[in-house]
Amino acid sequence: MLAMFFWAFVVGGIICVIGQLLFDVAKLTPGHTMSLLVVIGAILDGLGLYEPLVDFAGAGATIPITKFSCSWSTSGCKSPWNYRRVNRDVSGNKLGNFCSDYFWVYRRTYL
Amino acid sequence: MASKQKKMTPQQKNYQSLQQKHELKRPVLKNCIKAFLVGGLICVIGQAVSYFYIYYFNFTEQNVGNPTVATMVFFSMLLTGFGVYDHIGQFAGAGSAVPVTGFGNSVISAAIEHRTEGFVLGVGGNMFKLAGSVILFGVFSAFVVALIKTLLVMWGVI
Amino acid sequence: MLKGQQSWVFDHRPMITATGVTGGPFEANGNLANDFDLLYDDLWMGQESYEKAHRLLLEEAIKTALKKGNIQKEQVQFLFAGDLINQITPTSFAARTMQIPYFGLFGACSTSMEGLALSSFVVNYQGANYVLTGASSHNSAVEKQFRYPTEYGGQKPPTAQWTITGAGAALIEPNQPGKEYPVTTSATIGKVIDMGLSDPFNMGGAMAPAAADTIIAHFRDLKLDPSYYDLIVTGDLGRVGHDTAFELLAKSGLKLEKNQFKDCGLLMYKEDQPVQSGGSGAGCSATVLYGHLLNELKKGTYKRMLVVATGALLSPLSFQQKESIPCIAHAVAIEMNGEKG
Repeated sequence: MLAMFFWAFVVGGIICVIGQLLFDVAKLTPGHTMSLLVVIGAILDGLGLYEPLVDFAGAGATIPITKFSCSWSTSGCKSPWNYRRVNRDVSGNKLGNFCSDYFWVYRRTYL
Repeated sequence: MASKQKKMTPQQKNYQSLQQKHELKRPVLKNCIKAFLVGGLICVIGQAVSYFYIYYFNFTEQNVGNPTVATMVFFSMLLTGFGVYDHIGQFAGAGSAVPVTGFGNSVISAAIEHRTEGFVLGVGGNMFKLAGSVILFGVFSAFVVALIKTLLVMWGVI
Repeated sequence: MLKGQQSWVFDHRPMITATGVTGGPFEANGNLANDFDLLYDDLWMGQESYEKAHRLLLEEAIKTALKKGNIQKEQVQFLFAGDLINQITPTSFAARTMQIPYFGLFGACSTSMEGLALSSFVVNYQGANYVLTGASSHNSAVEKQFRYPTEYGGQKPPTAQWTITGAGAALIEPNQPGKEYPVTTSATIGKVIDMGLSDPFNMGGAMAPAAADTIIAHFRDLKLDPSYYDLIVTGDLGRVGHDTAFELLAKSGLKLEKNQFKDCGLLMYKEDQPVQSGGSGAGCSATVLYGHLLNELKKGTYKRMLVVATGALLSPLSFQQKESIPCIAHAVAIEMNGEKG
């Protein structure tokens, strides 16, 4: 449980740092930054990359605005990429599961 | 942006490089650290709220997202109403704007501001001034992604 | 009388006989709080909206100036005033209350000197016995229109400025020899200058070339040099614009001293107030000039001053349409009545 808090903090913080870089370096307005982040969230979810992040980091991935469009795109269609995750050990090592999920997606997509 | 720069005269270009010298630079590293800390903290609070709902209200990890987000927006409504959120925002930048609390703040602050113009045209017409583009792009990108995936599945590509 | 390309010399030396300066809570905690006639505890000022509070600021400033000048509003021929809000409604509604024949002006934050120059011209050529001029701004009303709602948690960069909540009004009369009042001696009207900057959070940088252009034109037209004035003060360039303008003037050959060249936006607030680069707004130059600077002039701290109010002529729409920010600056020279050329 404590591990979940730690990863929520780190992942949420990293997404916010990406937003801050868009503010300060790319000099985008808050509206542009948020819109860009939701689109990125939708694309990541379409590729099946966001659900593993939610399982791994919990609120660290559901609270940022990137999750906003994910709720709609996953309900839009049941991804055939998701069935793999039913078989894994949900009480097991979160970091291990997260890494294995990404590896599985990578294998499925590119190999 | 490139076409704008082509139209600039040498005098304008000279002035802009002179002005850059005096421009107070944004403290990028400090801002990123503050954004990381505050953004992370908001997500930790969200995680605590999720666990609260899981243990006391029998939600599961799959469906606790919605009440968590709703509760976080409620918190941001309180903070905005009490005039505290703008100070957090000035300190944290993206740390308070990127989480869904920032989205809530943009809607609520606009609603509060335009109350003087009435509820229909003022509040109703201006509430989504800042959040409108986020909603539009979020819904549209979700639609496009879902459409592409459905088509790809239908055609047997994936 | 026209002097040079774009300057007037006021041979009959119109007098500023009375002023009224009002401000809000932030200004009450600032450096110049003692030079305000009336300070409010909160931004609503007992009104239903920020725009109505904005109007009240100007109305009270005008009433104070009339009271101090010991004349009735019916005796005033004209009112030259403006602000930053769409269609300058707060000023127009204040003019409706005052019932004085009204010239509405828009020069963004340079409105105060635009008004003072025009009023001085009219009085100089016996176009009026009494003229009122002023400018005002209200932080929340301006933020609502130009930027974000006041409670929005957006982060302002260090180049941003804080729009002051305040109004300054002055009563201008023809000269009466022997009376110890400040007089306006000359004015230079600025051109619109655009150096291609488009960041609405860095207006100081955009306005500096306009200020420099008007100051250079003033010294060229009147054939003077900077040592003629004890103080050259810009309206609201802020930290960024002020340093940039100083360098621009040095590059053009005008030798100004650091302690001679000041900025109203930097004078207004204390170091610990969160105003980023400094104060700004149509009310900035008006409140600082008609309050603090004229008090200093009367005390003898300065003998002659040149006030250069600077304005950024953008709108929220022009920024969204990727336009750059055109700017303007107007200068008026003021000294005490006893001083001679």
